[in-house]
Amino acid sequence: MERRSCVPRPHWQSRVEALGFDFHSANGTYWVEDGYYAFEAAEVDRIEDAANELHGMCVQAVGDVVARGDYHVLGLDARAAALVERTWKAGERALYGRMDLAYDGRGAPRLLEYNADTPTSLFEASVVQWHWLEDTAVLPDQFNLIHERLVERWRQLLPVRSHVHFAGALASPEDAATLEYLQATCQQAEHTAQLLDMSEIGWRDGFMDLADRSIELAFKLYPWEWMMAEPFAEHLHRAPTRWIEPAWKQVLSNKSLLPLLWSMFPGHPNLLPASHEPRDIAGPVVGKPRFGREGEGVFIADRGVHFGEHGMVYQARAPLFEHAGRHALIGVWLVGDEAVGMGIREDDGWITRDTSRFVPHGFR
Amino acid sequence: MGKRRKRSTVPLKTLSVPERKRSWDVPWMWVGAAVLIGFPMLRDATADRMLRNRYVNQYSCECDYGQQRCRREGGQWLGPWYASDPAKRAADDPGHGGTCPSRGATGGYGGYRYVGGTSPSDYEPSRSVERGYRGGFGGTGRVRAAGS
Repeated sequence: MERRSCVPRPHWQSRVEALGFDFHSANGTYWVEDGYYAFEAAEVDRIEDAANELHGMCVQAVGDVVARGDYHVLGLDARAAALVERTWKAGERALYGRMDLAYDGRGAPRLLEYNADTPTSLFEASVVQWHWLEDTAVLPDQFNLIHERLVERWRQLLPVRSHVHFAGALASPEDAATLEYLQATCQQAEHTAQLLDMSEIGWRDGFMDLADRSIELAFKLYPWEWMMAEPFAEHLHRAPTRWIEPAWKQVLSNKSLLPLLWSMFPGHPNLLPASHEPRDIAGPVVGKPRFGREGEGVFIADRGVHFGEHGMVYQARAPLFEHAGRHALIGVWLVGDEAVGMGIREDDGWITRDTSRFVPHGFR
Repeated sequence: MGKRRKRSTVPLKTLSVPERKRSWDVPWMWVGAAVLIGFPMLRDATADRMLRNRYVNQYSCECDYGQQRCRREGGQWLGPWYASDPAKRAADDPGHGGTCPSRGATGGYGGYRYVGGTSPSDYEPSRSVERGYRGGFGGTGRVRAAGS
């Protein structure tokens, strides 16, 4: 793994905007055009293998949680637990997720979190960085089958020519772009799709869209824990709507997954020691809120933490790849049960946030 | 290599969010039309279990609910939807409002900052309550980012 500089493409802003990527300069710089990460094929294989193995372990963890009925450790109440159980036992299948890994270019990739419910930065990983590679040809290849696998997955998930409602917080440009992109992949799988804001969903003996049509299939880019805390949560258990991602993803998108995995697979090379009790972790510790997003509430304590806080998860600190004060986080995209691509976020600090930059990659 | 993307399937469609109707346009348009023509399927209003407050000024709405949960429509300010039945209000339900005076008008609802008022004397309770059947999801998304 290496960070290299490169010459920006002429008029790159208009090139990426032509693809529909109009938040390239959000917060100053979001898309990095003058640099990229270069990998050897063997490194990409190592990252891909790690993500596939970790995903298998995660799925096993969901099964164990449901079998034991131990939802308390995940901070899930009875209503959330009932939905997890129902959707898991019904075999509702998932669309996608993004696993964030710490990889310093030498050792094993380590799991930092699994954004299994509402991952974003999808469009730039799937489409924008691919066009960048085609234009620049700085390397022969890229770990990126995201688009193809998404289209295939929509075909596997739904009966032919299904109608899917895509709902989310459309006031956020990034969320709207992610939804629109996923909508396009769904339509390429020959389903029909329409977009609506979460607040536009109605309830009258079932969830309804703006034209008062029943919502049977809904992809939501909206966290389950928010839905469970909002007024319409009371209807979720009796509504026939099938939600994608399914409710059992609450087990995976929850940072309490990390201690659970560590207890199930202690010492696994792709895991870091993790616990709800910070004194279980030797050395530098990273504290993470169970339901935090985009680095919100995350802190690093180099001398450890002596008192745990309710709702926090503590994980041993792992080094990220560092180059000239830039720290890179590997996001591996999974579609269904397969690792299919990679996106890299970079930050001057050690914590990746919503302001962190997206840097394209390639390998040889 | 095995991981290279097939060029033929890369999407080139430009993404753009189409112009869309606001959530509250449609149900009230239909209700109005139904009243006018005696539409027999007009539903029992008791089935509409969501409410939201209308305020005469920005300060009053934001003092009750915070800056990001209020929006202007016409000459009035609209608060967020909340469940009509207090017993069924979930954790993030914004509630019925009207709590600003009891808090001494010193802070926004739920920790959200409010602006737009000049003094607590600008506060006026909501003038009317609107009834509907949408808005039971989406409240958290107005104040936090959903993606991760």
